[in-house]
Amino acid sequence: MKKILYILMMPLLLTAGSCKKFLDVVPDNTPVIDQAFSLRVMGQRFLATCYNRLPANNALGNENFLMADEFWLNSTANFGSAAYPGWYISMGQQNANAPLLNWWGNAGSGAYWQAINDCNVMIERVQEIPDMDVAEKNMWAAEAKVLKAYYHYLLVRAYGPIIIRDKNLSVYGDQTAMQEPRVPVDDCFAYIVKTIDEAMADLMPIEQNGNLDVGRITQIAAKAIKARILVDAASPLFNGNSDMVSLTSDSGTPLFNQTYSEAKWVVAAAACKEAVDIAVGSGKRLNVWTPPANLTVGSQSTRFQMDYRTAFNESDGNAEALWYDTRSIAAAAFQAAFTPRGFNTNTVSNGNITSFMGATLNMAEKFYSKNGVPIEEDKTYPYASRFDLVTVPATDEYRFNLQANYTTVRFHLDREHRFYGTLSFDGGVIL
Amino acid sequence: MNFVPGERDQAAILYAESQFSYNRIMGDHNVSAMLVGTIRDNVQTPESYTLLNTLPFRNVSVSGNTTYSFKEKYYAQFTFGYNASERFDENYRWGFFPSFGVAWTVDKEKFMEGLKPAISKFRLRATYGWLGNDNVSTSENRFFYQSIVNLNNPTRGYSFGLPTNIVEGYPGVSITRYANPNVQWEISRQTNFGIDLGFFNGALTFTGDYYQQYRYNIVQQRAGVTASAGFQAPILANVGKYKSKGFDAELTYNKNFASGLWIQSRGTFTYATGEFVHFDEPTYAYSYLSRVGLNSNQTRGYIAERLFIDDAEVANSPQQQFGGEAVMGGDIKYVDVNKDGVVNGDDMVAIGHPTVPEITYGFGPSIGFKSFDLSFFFSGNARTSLFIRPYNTSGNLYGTAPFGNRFSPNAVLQAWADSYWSEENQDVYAQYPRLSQTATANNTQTSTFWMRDASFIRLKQAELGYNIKGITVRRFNVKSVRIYMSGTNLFRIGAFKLWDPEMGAMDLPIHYNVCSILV
Repeated sequence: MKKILYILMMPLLLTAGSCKKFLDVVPDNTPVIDQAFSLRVMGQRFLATCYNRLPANNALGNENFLMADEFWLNSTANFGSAAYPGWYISMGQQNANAPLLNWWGNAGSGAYWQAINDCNVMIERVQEIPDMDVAEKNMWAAEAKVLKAYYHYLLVRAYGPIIIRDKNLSVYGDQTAMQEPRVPVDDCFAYIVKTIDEAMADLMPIEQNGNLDVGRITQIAAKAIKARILVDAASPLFNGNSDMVSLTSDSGTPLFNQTYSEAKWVVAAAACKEAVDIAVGSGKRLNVWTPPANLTVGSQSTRFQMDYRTAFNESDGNAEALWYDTRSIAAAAFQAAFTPRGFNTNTVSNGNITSFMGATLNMAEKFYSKNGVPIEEDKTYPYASRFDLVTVPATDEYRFNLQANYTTVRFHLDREHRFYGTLSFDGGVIL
Repeated sequence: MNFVPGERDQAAILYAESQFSYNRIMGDHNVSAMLVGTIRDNVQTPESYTLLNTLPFRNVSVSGNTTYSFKEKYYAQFTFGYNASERFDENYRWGFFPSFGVAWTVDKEKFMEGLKPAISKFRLRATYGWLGNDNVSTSENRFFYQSIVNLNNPTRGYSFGLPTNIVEGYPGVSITRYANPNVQWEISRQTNFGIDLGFFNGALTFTGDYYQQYRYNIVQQRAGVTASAGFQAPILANVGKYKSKGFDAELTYNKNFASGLWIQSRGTFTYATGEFVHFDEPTYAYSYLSRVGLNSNQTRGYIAERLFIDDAEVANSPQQQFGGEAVMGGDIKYVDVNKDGVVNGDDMVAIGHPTVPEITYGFGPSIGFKSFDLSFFFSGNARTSLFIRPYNTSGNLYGTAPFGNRFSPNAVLQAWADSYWSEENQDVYAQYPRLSQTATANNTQTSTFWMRDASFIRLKQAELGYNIKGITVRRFNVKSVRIYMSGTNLFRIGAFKLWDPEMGAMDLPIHYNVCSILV
């Protein structure tokens, strides 16, 4: 009898014995999110993750280009809608079913909700990092707060009333808790500005470690961001916008405040003054181009054009830049797209220049006349005959910006410095 | 010395089993019992090297079975499995799966004596039981109770400092999966009824099985998660439920005649269908958007009416919102099912039959007479649809689009060349819409325009042989020689003619006809 019992036990013993250990195959130190807050080095990576979803200005397909009808590309075969959605928006193809530049969704460009989630995790957990002092931890938390506010702002700018994500939802929590209403636009802006204000004191006033801190949120950057946000909040799109009267919450309150409020402009102006004061106090000023020593620049117009161009293009020694996008590099492919091709390939090879992009006539008309007013308002500007052909006189007034004795449209003459500093056109001179 | 190392594929399997069995015959009663314990450990070279892929697969199980039969007429059986898998959290690791079965050999009953030899075999059987499935994910997504975090992700990082000067770059942190300790075994509950019949001493036999299966705890992505939560990974849980049913039947006929003629033939038939009982999805405004009640292989798409005749018609029709290029004359016109003035995701309905055939069948005899023998076998599918892929964006194949694209050029299908919309020939019922250089979002939507009936019957195998008797070549010890001719996939009858429908939505049509004469 006993023998039978032992025999019966054998298969069970074989299996039941050290089963638990046998079935626990995952080793102990597999990466979990806690490890991102175990060392300062790891914490820095998480801080970089918070910055990662800022709009990057380094490729045509990114979220900031082509939507405003400012450029046009050469063919839909070369530039498909998946990689260059902005262009298709300006062609009128935005729709609710398969939205182009779907910033609300999680896929593709601008996954701002994921960025807000990352910033919230940073704010909650940065204090856990052991080998940092409290002031630096507070500074990182403050940067994450400003970034969080900025991402909310980017969503408000695109969608109007949004959901305020002040604290992260629990991953396996009740799904009914995820059904939240949209918050009226005024409250969105109030939350955004409040968050920036809360964080202001803990930020570094200006880049402390020279080049290593360029791109980080400083107080100069934060005040400038806040000023920009308040100007948007005071602008007609958000201030008393009667076109959006039908966008209401479930209870019927309009999500866009229908009353125009001048007080918003007062607040915006005050914020701008504050931002200017702190920037000037730290040595920022309008950019002035210094020509290299071996170059004599005859025309004041050329100097103004170069001031304007280097304000945008120059990163070294640019006194006007308050907050850098460290990824914004016009790489070779990008430059090849907007550089015009030479006509005479016998003398000048075009190499890799594709010249697929062009500025639109719409944009060219927006630049002012040389008198500093829009061309349709300038009394001395021949607006009605601006597309007639003329020959460029060979005088000093014209020869630095246009080819002397060349026949081109009247439209290209007598325009402001920014026109000549930004666009290249038929009959123009490439500096 | 161009040394190219060979593939290094290694696998190691450790399997230990202990078995205890008991058999006893006591007069008319026959009892047996068995208890088996197994341990299995499987380590193998993964397709891609991540930490989780290289961990072993381990299963432990205790299973057993007892059977009882009386007079070899009545049978009953009870089986159980108590299984554990390394994939689940320790609270849900073990699953208990019993099943029961009974059978009745009717032809041994007294009242059946008179019917022999007409009905020579008659057996009924039924089973009912549960089974567990732990294969709920790919090998690298196995451990749902662990989160998958990448602490060194270069695409999620940022660098500080002017690019023209020295730059401080940091990789970022990304989450590929959130930990869910509650994921457990998927369970299926199955009922099966079977009948075995034999007539004329086994000359004609019939076997039939009918089953019903209910699967629950299917691991599925939760649909109610809002995008504003900003989660980086889909949230999974055991929420899906699916039921299926079907039957298999087989009929055989074997006979040897005195004249030297012999026949062996066989036919099979399978029908299987299923539908979702519960599928985690949002509450849709229109009931036809729900997956509940649909087969898991059911395709959903738009209903294509015809092509737009010209641009003016596009402007006067409901707007088709797919992004991408503007819709023009010659593009596919879809039906606005809910009549809301736009064609969008709310107009998708279930279209066609499931892409996996619901019915498969086959039949064919082998016949021989004296020295000749002839056999052939037909097989076929029914109740299935296939969707032609107009543009394939994965890999480098460009689908069936004429000329492909500049990276992978194609030839043109005759069917498209014969019938396409063009300015000169504005045929709204053409087989191919307006030609374009790149895939247009409008024409690549899943719709009835690209749907075809993929049912067919084909002559799968045919063979004709002749046995030459009396030839012996003593030198080579040859005793008999048979010459035969055989062919595979000789012809096919079906609605879809462009290529072999068994290929599905293949991009490159392949035909294969083998005809050989062998000795």
